[in-house]
Amino acid sequence: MHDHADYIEHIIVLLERTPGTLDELLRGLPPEWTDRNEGGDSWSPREVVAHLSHAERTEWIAHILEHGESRPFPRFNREGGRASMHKSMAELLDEFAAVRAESIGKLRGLALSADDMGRHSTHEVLGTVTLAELLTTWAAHDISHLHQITRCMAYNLREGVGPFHRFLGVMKCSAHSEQNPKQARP
Amino acid sequence: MESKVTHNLDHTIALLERTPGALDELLRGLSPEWTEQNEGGETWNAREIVAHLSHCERTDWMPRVKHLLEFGEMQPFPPFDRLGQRQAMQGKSMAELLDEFARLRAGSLEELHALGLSPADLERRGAHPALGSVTMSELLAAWAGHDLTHLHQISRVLAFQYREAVGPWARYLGVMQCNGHSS
Repeated sequence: MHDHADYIEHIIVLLERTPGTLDELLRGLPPEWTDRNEGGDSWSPREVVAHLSHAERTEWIAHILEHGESRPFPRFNREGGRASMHKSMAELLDEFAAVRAESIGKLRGLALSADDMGRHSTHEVLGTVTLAELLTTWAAHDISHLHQITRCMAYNLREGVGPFHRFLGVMKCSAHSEQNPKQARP
Repeated sequence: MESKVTHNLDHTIALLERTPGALDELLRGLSPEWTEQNEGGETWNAREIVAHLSHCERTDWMPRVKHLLEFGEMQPFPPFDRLGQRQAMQGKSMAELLDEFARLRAGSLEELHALGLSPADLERRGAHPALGSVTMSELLAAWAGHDLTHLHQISRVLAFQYREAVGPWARYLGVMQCNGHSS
């Protein structure tokens, strides 16, 4: 583990990049890429972006600010992003960039100390977790959804690529498969 | 809505155009602790993956498109060295590799555009040295699928660096369950 301030800065560097990365990847792409899912009630890239904004409003920074060991995290509504699904991809990307910038501002404002990073909270399923783990999971959750978006887009190419299928690793990903598409939750 | 994206060259190009920018946003200026770390053993780090994309741009995709148009199934695509980037990436920074990839990709798409492929061209067949008969349409879709495969791989390589630091949350993070399956 690094010096805690460096560690937080590393997390922030990743958190800051996600809106821009998603924007470059998804803005202006035809709905054939952004609105198709991996079957069943799995999520499309547009729904993933809506989910990221929803989690940003209700999860990460809120947990850091408000909850200690005596007050467990409230249950997270993984479907909460669905309420924003009437919005266009461009609107959802703008919204995510705005709420992310705001939460990074709050995180910097907290100036968390090394002691803070070791503070415990209670998660209803996972039990005791540290603030450092929560912060790290925030960044890893972004990466997990980027991973999901690339898999979802590739899913829509699965027939178009014909025999090239076997050389394309993303087409073999079952990390959170159709049967359990929403495994990647905070 | 569930369907597939097939034979739509405009959609394929829309994605191919976006990959360099997305990688740039994700990786430029990121510390070497991210960009130089791999998933252990001989696996690739993010810098090597970007170098690989450029290597493919030079020796794989458009060269194969042109080869298919010229030779059809009469002559298989020349073999491709999937480790060819190892030499090419020596001494190059991530910033240089991102610039190079963006430049090469723009050039490829210009060439592709200039070919003005017709729907009939998309159905033409070539011979892949390992896969046998493939259509132009499949080759072009695989180009986009290859970008997605490596974006997917980069996200997994980045997440790998946090596999312990997330503590018990690892089980909820799909990317942490991804078991490699690289090509």
